[in-house]
Amino acid sequence: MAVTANMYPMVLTTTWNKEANLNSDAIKCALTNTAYTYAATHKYFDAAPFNAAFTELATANGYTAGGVALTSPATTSAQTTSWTAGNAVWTSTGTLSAVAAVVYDSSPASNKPLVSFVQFGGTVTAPSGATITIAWNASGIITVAVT
Amino acid sequence: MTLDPAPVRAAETDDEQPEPGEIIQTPNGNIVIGVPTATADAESPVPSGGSS
Repeated sequence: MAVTANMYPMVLTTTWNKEANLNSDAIKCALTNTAYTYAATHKYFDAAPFNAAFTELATANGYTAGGVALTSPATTSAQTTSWTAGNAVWTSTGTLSAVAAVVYDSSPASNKPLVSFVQFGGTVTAPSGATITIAWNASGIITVAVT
Repeated sequence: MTLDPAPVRAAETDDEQPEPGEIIQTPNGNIVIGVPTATADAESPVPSGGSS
């Protein structure tokens, strides 16, 4: 199964009502090693129903709970608007395994808005010293096209 | 629940990049996950015909 990506539609709501700011807030990418079923209705990283369904990796083997910050966020504006940022990279210090990743806005003290979800299509495992890099598409992490 | 290993293609060079949707492992052991863009499409409604 190939790598797939889904945008959380609720990110439109959370950006429009200023709960999320994808260009100035601290945007993070977190990993899980447990099966999670994407749901378009999920809205916040740290609230139900998402946090009851998504089990983030604990701090170990080169992973730090909360995930890594995505640098250099940028938005392009046109009929198709896209948002992107730097790649997410972890260096394994043991055996680092994951099956999926989630991008979210970590700046709010609570109700941290979800942005997008990446399913790896199975388990990826990096031995000690190796890296796991999530390489975003050149067209952006998320795009919204109005036609 | 443990999932099966994801399909991983062995890259020929350390600086090779994956296509969107694929995962590669470089000769030095690093894993690179190529992510397709997550999209949302909003189609503008076409005004219905009719007269007042």
